[in-house]
Amino acid sequence: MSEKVDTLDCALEVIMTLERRGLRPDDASIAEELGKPIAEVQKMMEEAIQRGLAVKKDGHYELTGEGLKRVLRHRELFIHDRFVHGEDRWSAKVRDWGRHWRHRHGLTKDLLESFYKALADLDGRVEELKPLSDMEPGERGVVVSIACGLGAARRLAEMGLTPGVQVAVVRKAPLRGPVEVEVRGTRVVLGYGLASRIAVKGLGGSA
Amino acid sequence: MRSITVALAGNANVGKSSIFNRLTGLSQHVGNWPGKTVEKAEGVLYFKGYRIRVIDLPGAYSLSPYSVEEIIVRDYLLSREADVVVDVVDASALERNLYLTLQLIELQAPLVVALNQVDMAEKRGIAVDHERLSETLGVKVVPTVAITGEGLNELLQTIVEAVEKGERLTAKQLTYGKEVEERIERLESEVRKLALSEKYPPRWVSIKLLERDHLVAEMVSKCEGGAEVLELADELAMELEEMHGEPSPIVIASERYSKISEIVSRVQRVVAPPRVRWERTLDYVTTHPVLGYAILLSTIAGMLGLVFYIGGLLSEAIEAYVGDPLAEAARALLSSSLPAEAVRIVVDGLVVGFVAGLVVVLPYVVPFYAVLSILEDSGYLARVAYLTDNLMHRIGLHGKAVLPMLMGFGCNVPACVGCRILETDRERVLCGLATVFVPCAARTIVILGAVGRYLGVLPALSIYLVVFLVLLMVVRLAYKVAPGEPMDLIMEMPAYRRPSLRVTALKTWSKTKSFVIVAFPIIIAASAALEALSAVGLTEQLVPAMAPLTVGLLGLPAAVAIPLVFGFLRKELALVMLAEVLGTWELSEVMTPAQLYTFALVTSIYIPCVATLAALVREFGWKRAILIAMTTLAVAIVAGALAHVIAIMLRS
Ligand SMILES: Nc1nc2c(ncn2[C@@H]2O[C@H](COP(=O)(O)OP(=O)(O)OP(=O)(O)O)[C@@H](O)[C@H]2O)c(=O)[nH]1
Ligand SMILES: [Mg+2]
Repeated sequence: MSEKVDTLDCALEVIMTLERRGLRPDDASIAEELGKPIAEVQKMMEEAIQRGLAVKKDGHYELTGEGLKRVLRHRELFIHDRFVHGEDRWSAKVRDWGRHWRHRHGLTKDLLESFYKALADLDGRVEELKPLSDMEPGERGVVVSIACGLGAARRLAEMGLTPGVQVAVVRKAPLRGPVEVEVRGTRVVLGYGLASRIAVKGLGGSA
Repeated sequence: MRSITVALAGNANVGKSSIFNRLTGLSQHVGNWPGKTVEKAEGVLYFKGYRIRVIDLPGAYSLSPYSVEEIIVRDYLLSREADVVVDVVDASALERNLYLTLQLIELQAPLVVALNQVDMAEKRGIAVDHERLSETLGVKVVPTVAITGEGLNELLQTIVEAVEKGERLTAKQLTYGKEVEERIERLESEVRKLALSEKYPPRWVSIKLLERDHLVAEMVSKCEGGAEVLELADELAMELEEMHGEPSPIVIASERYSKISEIVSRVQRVVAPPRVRWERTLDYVTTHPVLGYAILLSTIAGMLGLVFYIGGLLSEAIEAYVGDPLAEAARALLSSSLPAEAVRIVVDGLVVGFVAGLVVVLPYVVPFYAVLSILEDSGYLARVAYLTDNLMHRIGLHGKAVLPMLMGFGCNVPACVGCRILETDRERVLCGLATVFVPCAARTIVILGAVGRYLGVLPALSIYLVVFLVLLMVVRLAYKVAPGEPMDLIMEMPAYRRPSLRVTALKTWSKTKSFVIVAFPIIIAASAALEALSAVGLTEQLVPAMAPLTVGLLGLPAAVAIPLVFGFLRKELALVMLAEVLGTWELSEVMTPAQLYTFALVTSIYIPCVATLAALVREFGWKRAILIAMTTLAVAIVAGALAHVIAIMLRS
């Protein structure tokens, strides 16, 4: 998956994340976050500036309006491909995103709005998110978003799976079977489909 | 005498029915998996001059229902019939349990909290300070252990005292975060103007509206001035959504949980490491990707083998020491005083029927119930649901559907009602269809009595296998006919527990008792009726009429028509009647092994018994019930005919 994600998008994502943390993103800090050599980052950022996605001011980068839009679109595609369809690069086939979310995934206008809002508010890089179903037994993580129908999302929240809560995967059944998680001192079993729509930020774990 | 109505509410599997049984002496279904109670139940007890009506409710996680049994809870709590609502809380899962408590507080229900399972909490090293909890919530909290009855006296005492003093048991309202609280208050001031606010607390209505609860929105829309309130609520909910980037129901749920975290950090401490070594090991092996399935298969096979073995021993003993002497005595007593015809009806009918019930039915039913009860109390059933979730998806259901199906092993009637724990109508019907294929205790008697006894345990087990394959095929087909996205499993996983001897004994006893009360009269009456019918020659007409089916298609003796017809009343009756029409209990002398096998197979599958049919009608309506029954009939004939054909092929 990761190699298919555009690294430019990732770099912009990093800039946004660092800005959020009150830091001033420069070549070195971006390179560190991305785990890429500085030279490569410099080249990439030149391209970004050329395309009007970022500007450079006294040694650090800032996103332009265009750049911000691009990050949000990147996040949207990432969530869509990774969590909602559960397969890579589905987004290539989509033209009108608002329409797609509403018709294909049954999101109402309100929900779509709150979804976009959540994307903009995301704490950290979107690539750090993974479906709960991809976590290994023993791994812990924080629930970031739940991209399933409102009925199920509501029930999950009522059972303690609210955004921001810490979960630990207890076990997973083979062949895309259900996932058992520990949340708020209780154990809950979730079907694979559901677990793959829950975006979690990993915290590592005591496997 | 003054009367108090007390309702038991709480999350699933916290011990509501255990408390109910302790208080009332009744025997509601208890076991260690979520979703046993699916109907409201009532009992009465007398305490210090009060007549206390106790209501046992199904489990619920929230007042916004997700499945049918939760609707029952909501409706009951909103009816405000109860003088006191006892919120049963699992002390070992306090955080999740308080979610409902908070909603009951919002609803301003007259509340007493039973902090149950404190023994389990202690075992897991969790200490809950109940006095502090009481202070924090502003409600009375009584620690209890339902399985030993500890604390239940205090619970009753607390209730009676409060009622005596005329105390209002409603808790003080908890305040949520500023953003949410402000909006609740704004909405509340508008809701107050509605007529609805006389019936329900305006604050509760406001919170529910912000949560976009459909049912409350509907109630409000019917009030004068409701439309404006709804509009405001929508606006405020949208503001919340904008602020948090989540749908408002999730925002409110998070809000409640953050309040709960605050409370829990104040009242709960982890004092020791959990002492759950064997539970953890058991949990590991029974859910293991390979071992788990092996254990599942051997559990079912072992259970049936054990029942067969114990049942056989008991059956022989009862026959030798009770059955035979009884029949002899009756014959000797009556033959001198009554005409021969009457002796036949009385002895061959009544007495033989009674003895058959005693010898053939009882010895197998009792160990069967006992083993089932132990399995159920341990918490294994929920593991089966976890293991089979995948398989269930293939037939349009999810793992939870296995729970009512496993109940079907005992009896199909409660199992059909148990399908209520599923979320959609489509799934409930599919699950109902699956359930009626599960061989219940009565069918187990037929399988063990006709096949196990003469052909051995393995052929008997093979019938179970065939029936399960048939079940999977039929439900899969039905799923193709009525397609739809299967829902996803969301189920709480209960911790393993050592089954309590007392609970197992009580449960086996009460099930056996009701089995005897229902089954014996029918078996005896049917035996007598059979003798009477053959005396007037009616059976001679039925037998040839059904011969094309029984002899032609299934290759059975013609007389089998009668047991098959009687089997509709109760399945084990088919076996008893078979012996009676053939005139011997040594079935292998008059039927070939293939015939015995086919008979047991057909009896296991065709039309559920009357009681189950009635349950199907009640749960799913006439049309679907008939459809399900006809499906089983057709499938039984096809399966029986196939067995017949295979037998012929094997012989030649
Ligand atoms: N150790 C312990 N076990 C308990 C206690 N109370 C109940 N149990 C067990 O918990 C399990 C669930 O109890 P039930 O009374 O069936 O629970 P319920 O709340 O009626 O469950 P549903 O009807 O499914 O909602 C059973 O196995 C009980 O034996 C307790 O105080 N201590
Ligand atoms: Mg119950």
